[in-house]
Amino acid sequence: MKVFHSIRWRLQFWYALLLASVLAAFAISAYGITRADLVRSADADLERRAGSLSRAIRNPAPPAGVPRRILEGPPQDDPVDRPPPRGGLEPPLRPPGPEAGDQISAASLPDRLSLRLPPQEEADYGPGNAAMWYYVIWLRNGAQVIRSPAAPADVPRPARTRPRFPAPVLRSRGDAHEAFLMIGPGEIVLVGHSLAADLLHLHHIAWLVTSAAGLILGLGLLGGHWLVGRSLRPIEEISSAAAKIAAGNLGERIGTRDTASELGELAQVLDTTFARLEASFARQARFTADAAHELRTPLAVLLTHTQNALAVPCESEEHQEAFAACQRAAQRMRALIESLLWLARLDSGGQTLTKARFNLAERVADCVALLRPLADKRAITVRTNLAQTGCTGDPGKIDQVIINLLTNAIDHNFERGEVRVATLPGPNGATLIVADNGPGIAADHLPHIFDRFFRADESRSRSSGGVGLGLAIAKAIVEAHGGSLCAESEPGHGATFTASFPD
Amino acid sequence: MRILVVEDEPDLLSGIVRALRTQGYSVDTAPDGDEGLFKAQSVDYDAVLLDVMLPLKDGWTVLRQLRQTRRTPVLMLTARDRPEDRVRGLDTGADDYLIKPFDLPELLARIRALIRRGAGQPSPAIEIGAIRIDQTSRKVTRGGEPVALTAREYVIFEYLAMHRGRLVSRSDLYEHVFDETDDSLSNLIDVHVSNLRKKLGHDLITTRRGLGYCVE
Repeated sequence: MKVFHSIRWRLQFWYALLLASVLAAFAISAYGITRADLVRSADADLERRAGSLSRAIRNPAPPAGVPRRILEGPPQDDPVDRPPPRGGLEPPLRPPGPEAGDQISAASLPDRLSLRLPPQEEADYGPGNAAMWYYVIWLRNGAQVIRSPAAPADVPRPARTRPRFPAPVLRSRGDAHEAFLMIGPGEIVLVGHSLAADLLHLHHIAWLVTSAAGLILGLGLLGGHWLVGRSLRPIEEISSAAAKIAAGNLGERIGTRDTASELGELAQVLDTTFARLEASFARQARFTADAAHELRTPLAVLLTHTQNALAVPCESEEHQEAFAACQRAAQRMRALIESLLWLARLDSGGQTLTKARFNLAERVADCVALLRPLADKRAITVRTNLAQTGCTGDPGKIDQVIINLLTNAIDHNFERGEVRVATLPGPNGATLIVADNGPGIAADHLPHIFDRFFRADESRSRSSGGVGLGLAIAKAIVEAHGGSLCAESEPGHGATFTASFPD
Repeated sequence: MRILVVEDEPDLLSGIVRALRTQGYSVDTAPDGDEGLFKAQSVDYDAVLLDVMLPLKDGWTVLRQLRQTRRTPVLMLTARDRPEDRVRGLDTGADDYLIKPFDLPELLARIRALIRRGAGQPSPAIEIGAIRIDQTSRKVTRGGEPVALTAREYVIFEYLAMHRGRLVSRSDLYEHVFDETDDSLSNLIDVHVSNLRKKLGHDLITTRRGLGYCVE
């Protein structure tokens, strides 16, 4: 898939991945920390409340007639400060002993325990409180259970894991966190708090954070898309300019406005290179054109004088033959110069094609008629199979292609050979096929057949008067039209040239 | 017919001049633009062959300045053959355009056509009664029989025939038939005309005393 190989999409993908993971890490750790904080503060609260509840049990509001013996019991300060008592042993600071204490408690505590709690805490345990605080107090080994109104019915009695350990022990059941404290044998104070509401709130926040992260990700991706597109735009410009240059439009430049970025610099460097390339091509084409032009005047001198000399009877046959040879050479040079100029003009791209819509078949028929004498001279039959073929191009230049291909087929054929010419209309444009049944082209010559001055057969081509540029010119013209010209050959069975002109 | 050739390459100039003289034209030459313009302005040539790349004044300038005063047919000779050059040449007032190197037969044919057009004679054959002038082969026949004319006689008769019905002064004739290198006396024209009358018939060319000749 092209998308996965495009730099833009790869950058975008990594960018998205990075942004998403940063956002996810941030959101997850924020959630974790908040949740841990929540739990920790809830737990600290539980421990504090468990402490104050246990103190309240031991030091209830003295009902009338009850001696305040319990005041002589466990100290009222924070149980953590006290050294842990030996498990099972009666602390020496509890003179009445467990039985006496139990009795006292049992006797003194009514079903509805009246605890002296700070008013704020008292309210928290009240019915219908939003914070879901509750306590459960087991007395006398569970024989008496005191519950706050909000306490769930199914709070299990903690096992005696660390009996009489003065520090509250924490446990959690589902959303509920509980802290319990053994305050005496068989006496457990448990304070619980359901975190459900807090967690719900936390989840709510988590959802908000997630949506915000999603939004940021979306915005980030859009911004990234824009940024990547913007930074890659020079590449697109470079690529389109290079494509046009490759197609032969040497005057094309990237011309990026962004000159500060690395790609902008690259584009400028490439523009400079293209300019030098164009200049060097132009120089080469101009040199060829200038050389050809400079050759024209001396050639005109040569032709004028030889033709003058040949116009009147010469003194000797030798002179006559010498002038005739000079004239033949001059005519060959003239053909060569014309061909070089054609190529120079096509190379420089300075010659614009004057395009028109025409019927290729008519053009081919005209060119065949024009070259018929050339074919007759070698007794070559020209067979045509011309379908009406619409073609768009420069008619004069396409005539040149037809003539060059036909001349080539006639020149490189056996005497009494055959040349077949066909035009075919097609969905993608017109096709011209020129085939001969001559000796064909050797496989190692085939790739060079369109090279300038290439001759498969030195001696024969030269005698036929060609200069070795006809096929190169034909190819250059076809390519200037955006088409293609290719040759196929089986040595001994002739060659086939196929020119395609796109619509 | 008198032709001016403006060309800076001496060998080409001599070749063209030789070819034109062989064809019976009177030929003047100029090696640069200044002299070419001066001559073209001062003599009523039947045609001017003008090279484009000339020293002192290029062919375009010569042509433009010449067109301000004269309608002489001009054939541009050039080594440049871009289509825009041809368009420019023809738009500046050139009558024809020939690219170097050229074949002499083509050059001569174009000059003949140019002169014919300049004289308003589109056909290459002129018929006056039983007499027929074939300008391509430069032959004159009378009732189908060829008439042997010298080169100068032919030129004089051709010029008179091409300006048929118009009075051609002796100096006109002299100007178009003899070139600058000719030092023949103008009364030679009378000799040639009298010879033409002998060969083609006495009533063909009439003399307007003091004015010139006319072919009716």
